[in-house]
Formats: sequence, C-alpha cells, structure tokens
Amino acid sequence: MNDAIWSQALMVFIGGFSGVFLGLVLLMLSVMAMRLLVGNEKQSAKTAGKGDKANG
Amino acid sequence: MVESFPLLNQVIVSTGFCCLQIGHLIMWLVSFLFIYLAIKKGFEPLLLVPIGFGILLANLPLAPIMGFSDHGGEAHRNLIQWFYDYGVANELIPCIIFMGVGALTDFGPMIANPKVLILGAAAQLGVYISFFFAILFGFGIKEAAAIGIIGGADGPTCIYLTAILAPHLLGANALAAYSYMAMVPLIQPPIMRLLTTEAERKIKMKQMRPVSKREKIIFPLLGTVVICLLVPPAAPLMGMMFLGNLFRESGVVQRLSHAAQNELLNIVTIFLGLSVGATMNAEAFLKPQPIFIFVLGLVAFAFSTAGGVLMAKLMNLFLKEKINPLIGSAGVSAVPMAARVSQVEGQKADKHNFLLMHAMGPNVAGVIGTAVAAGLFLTMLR
Repeated sequence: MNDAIWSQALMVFIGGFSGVFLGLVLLMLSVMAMRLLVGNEKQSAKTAGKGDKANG
Repeated sequence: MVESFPLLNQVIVSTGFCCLQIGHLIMWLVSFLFIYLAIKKGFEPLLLVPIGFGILLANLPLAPIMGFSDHGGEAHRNLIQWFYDYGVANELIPCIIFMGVGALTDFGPMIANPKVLILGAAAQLGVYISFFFAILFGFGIKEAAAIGIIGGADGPTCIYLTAILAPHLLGANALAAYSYMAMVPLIQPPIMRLLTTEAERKIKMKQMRPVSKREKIIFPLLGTVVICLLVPPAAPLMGMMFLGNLFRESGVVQRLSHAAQNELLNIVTIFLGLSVGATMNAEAFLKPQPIFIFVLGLVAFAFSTAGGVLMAKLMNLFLKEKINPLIGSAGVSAVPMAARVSQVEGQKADKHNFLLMHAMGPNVAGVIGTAVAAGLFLTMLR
C-alpha cells in the first residue's frame, strides 16, 4: 500500500472524526443556547390565575 | 427429437432453466435465508423481506428484472432498474426515508439532555476504525468509506453514501448494515458488560426535565441551519429529516406528518428493498469482497458500541450528575433497538433502573452523527 493512500486515509480519519465531534458539539451548544433564549414555557400570570381558579 | 420441432426447441431454450447455474442456486439460498430470518426471527422484516425477494428475482436467469432489454434496437430499462436508477442511484429514496424517520422521531430526550450528543459523536468511532481496516484489506479509499459507514448502524445513510462512493458494493453494504442492526441485541451486550463495572451499570439517572413544545419546534430549524452550514453534503439527509420532524412537532400539518410516517415511508421502503436486493446477482455477490464487508461491518459495530460506552465513562470523570455508561452504546443509530438494549442491560444490573428514555437521547444523536460522518466523507472523497 503506498504512502499517499495512507496519508489520505489518515487525513480522512482525523478530519472526519474531529468533524463529527465539532458538528455535534456545535449542535449541543446551540441547543443549550436555545434553552437559555426560549427556556421552559412559563405560565403567564393570567394563565396561572385561571389555573388557580379552576383548581380552587 | 427436440431439434425436429424448432418452435419447441426455441421455447425450451428461452426458459430460465437452461441458463441456471450453481451461483444462482446459492443466491436463492441466500434469499431464502434472509426471508426466513425476517419472517421467522423478526429480523428487520420491513427491509429484509423485499431485499430477500429482490435477491431471488435478480437471480432468475433471463428474467428482465435488472439491467436493460433490447426493445427494437433500443436499450430499455428493466422493471427494478427503473426503481434503482431513479430512487437509489439518484439518492432520492434514502432522503425520503429520512423524512419519515424525522416524522417518527421525538428529539425531546436529546433536547432535555444535550450532553448526550457527545455520545452520538463518540459512537461513530467504529465508522473510522473499520474505514482503516477496509484499506488494510485492500479496498479503495471510497469503498473503505462506504464500508465504514456500516458502523453508524443507519441503513438509509449507509445506502446514500454507498450509492455515491461505491455503488458496486451497495447490496453487500446494505445487507450487512440491516443484518447487524437486527443483531444489535446480540452484538452489543457482551461489549457493554466488558467495558463497565457492576457499580457503573447501577448508576441511576435523574428524571429528565420536560421539554416545551416551543423548543421542539425550534430544534429542527436550528439543527438544519447548524448541520447543513457545517457539512453541506449532509443537507439532503438532514434537511429531509428535520423537515419531517417539523411536520411532527408543529402540530398543524398532521396529514403531512402522517403521510411521511406511513404511506410515503412504506412505499419507498418497498422500492428500496427490492432495488438493493436486485443488485445482488450471483456474478457480483459470490466473491470474497462481501465476506470481508460482513467482517468489517461487525468490527465497525463493535467499535462504535465501545466508543459510546467509553465516552460516557470519560464524561463521568467531569460531570457532577453521572451518566450510566450503558446509554453510551445507544449512540449507534439503530433506533430504537440500541436504546432498548441499554434498558435491558440496565435492568439486569438493577431492576429498578429505567434507562430507556435516557438512552433515546444518544440514540437519535447517533442518527445525526452518522449523517454528519457521511457528509464529511463526501466532502473529502467525492
């Protein structure tokens, strides 16, 4: 097997595997940022009031 | 005597019986084996029944199934050649299947605990290890990439990449991928037990937070932008998957979501199975190559499982709330089989341990990871 193929294979291995990590870490950070920005839907005071009334 | 009746002679010569060879008979046995495994053992029946039947059809001598026939001097595609050329070679069917997969997938467990995306990345280890081994076995670099992706345990991605980089390996690759996906409950548990201690298998994970509808709607849009900008060749697969998921989560296009999950997915699955099976004629399949592909596929699955489990153990060194390493193995796609294996193994260690929903996170992350890996192979090798 010649050196050119092995060096290309090594490049694909390193570039590919680190690329997969980079992609999914970036997605993870985006999901975390999304949570910070939109967060859990909180009940508005109005809705909460209605709920309380219904429960009460 | 037959020579005395030229018409009778012509009829006899035109039957397939005259051209039947031992290779065809061997392929019939392969076909019957896969149909048997699908029907009797329940191994990926939705795919293995049409694939098995496709193998049978492709190995009936003289039958105009694959390839081209002469119609008055013009080459005319045979029946399954149409499905193959327009559905598989043009990469159409895997993308439509991904739309259905997106419509069927709940990304909630992954959104609730996004750290599991790292497990989905680590579980692609087998893809790259078997890529290296394939080159050692003498395969070309594009063929090696197509074989490596079997380790992602994602049928449509495997077919998508193989159809582009090494179409001559399509039948063997697809069959190896779906066979091993069906055998996940046999392949993964010994590796999971080998790499974890009893105490680690007993780790109980905190109940996941509820994920809001707004987050579930934003996620497919966010995922499309992030992944498709980073790895543009993954856009056909990822774009379709996130579109299907948006159908599901938006709640306003239930008819489209239903169609993507059911009718559309079922129809293209028939065409995909038949086309893949029909590529496996005796001349192409009865060579040493498919045996090597099956061996390398097993190597890929084993290393992918190990990659996920070991990454979970590594993460536990830094995390305050520990992850049960058994969910790492679910980072190979094989949805939801790999997640079920995590659940079963977790309950063997502690019957009060419920890991299924935790394992669904890395499981769906693995689908994204495999598509990204395929996109990166295309970026570097196309």
